[in-house]
Amino acid sequence: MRALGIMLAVATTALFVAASWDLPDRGDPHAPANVGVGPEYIERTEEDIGIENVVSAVLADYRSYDTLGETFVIFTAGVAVLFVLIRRGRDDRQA
Amino acid sequence: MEEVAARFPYFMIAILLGVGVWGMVGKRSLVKKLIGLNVLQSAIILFFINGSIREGGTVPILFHGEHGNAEDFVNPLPHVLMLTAIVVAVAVTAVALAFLTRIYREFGTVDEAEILSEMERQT
Amino acid sequence: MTDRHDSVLLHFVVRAVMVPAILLFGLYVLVHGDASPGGGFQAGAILAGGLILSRLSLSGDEGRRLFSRPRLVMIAVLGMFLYAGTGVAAMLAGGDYLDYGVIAFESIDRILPIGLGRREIGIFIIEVGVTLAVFGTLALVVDYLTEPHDPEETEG
Repeated sequence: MRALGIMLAVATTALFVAASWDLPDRGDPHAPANVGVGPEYIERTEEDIGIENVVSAVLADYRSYDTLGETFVIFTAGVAVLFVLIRRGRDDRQA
Repeated sequence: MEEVAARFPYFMIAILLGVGVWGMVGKRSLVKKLIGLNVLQSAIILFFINGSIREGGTVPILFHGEHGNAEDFVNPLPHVLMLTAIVVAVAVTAVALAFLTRIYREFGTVDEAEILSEMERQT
Repeated sequence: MTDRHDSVLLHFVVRAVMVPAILLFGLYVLVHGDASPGGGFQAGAILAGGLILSRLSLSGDEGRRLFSRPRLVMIAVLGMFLYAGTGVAAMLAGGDYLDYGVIAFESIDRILPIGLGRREIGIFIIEVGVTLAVFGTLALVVDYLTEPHDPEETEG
């Protein structure tokens, strides 16, 4: 078990290091992640949304469906915790 | 040497990935496996945040209604995605901790091998 | 709860200094989420952190009575309804779901002439919803996870 864990860890690290030679340099303005829709958000937030924080604008307006689902995820997690840990007959005394 | 310096963050992230995998596979305690999962998630989040950096860019906040010029700011999209990923990580950790609490109440231990032998003894 | 001996210093530092500062900072992060780093998720996490600090360090504090478990569930559900209801309000106003630009917020602007754009008000409302949902859920989860364990109740 321990040997398997160390082997897998070393293999994962080696694989990622080998793959990193094909990844773009740090701070490269022409990296594929930096030329897509990201600059569009920065340039259009001012007239589309009118708030200063671009991250908030993307989170709460451009991608508000995403955030709605996210809020449902954390709410569902809370309900799941409630149902896993609830103990009948004790909670009404404690609450 | 220049090549290695440009990839230094990736090496650190690779080490974090390895630590996470080692914690998830090599450890016997379920709590340590959960910590390994969190380290792995941190590595992924750092990888995305590292990809958002643009040379000479600042935080993506447009002060006093200035028009956004894309070259002056870092990419805001990975930050948004990682914010949601952090929330998912919190939700996963909460549910996993709830299950661990329940397992501890049931078996009196969080050790993987002891739980398995206990389950075999019960059936 | 077990009977803990509260230290006077701990009582003072937590109740009079740290918890008010943390809650105020959480509200600041929420209100300034559109102009500086911050937003709903972060504010909810900070507010829940303040509540959890007072629960873990003080025995029998007001926070436990004020935010009991049913109320925390209600807060989380209220946050979800605030978020989803804003989307439905946008649909009723004739737009798409969650398209705040079409909601007529003129009444809010008449009562409080703060000069915000329509989308800014919509974003603030859903940020409040996210904050309530995250605050209620996190406080509820930690409340259940820190419940003391009675060994005689072990079923195995």
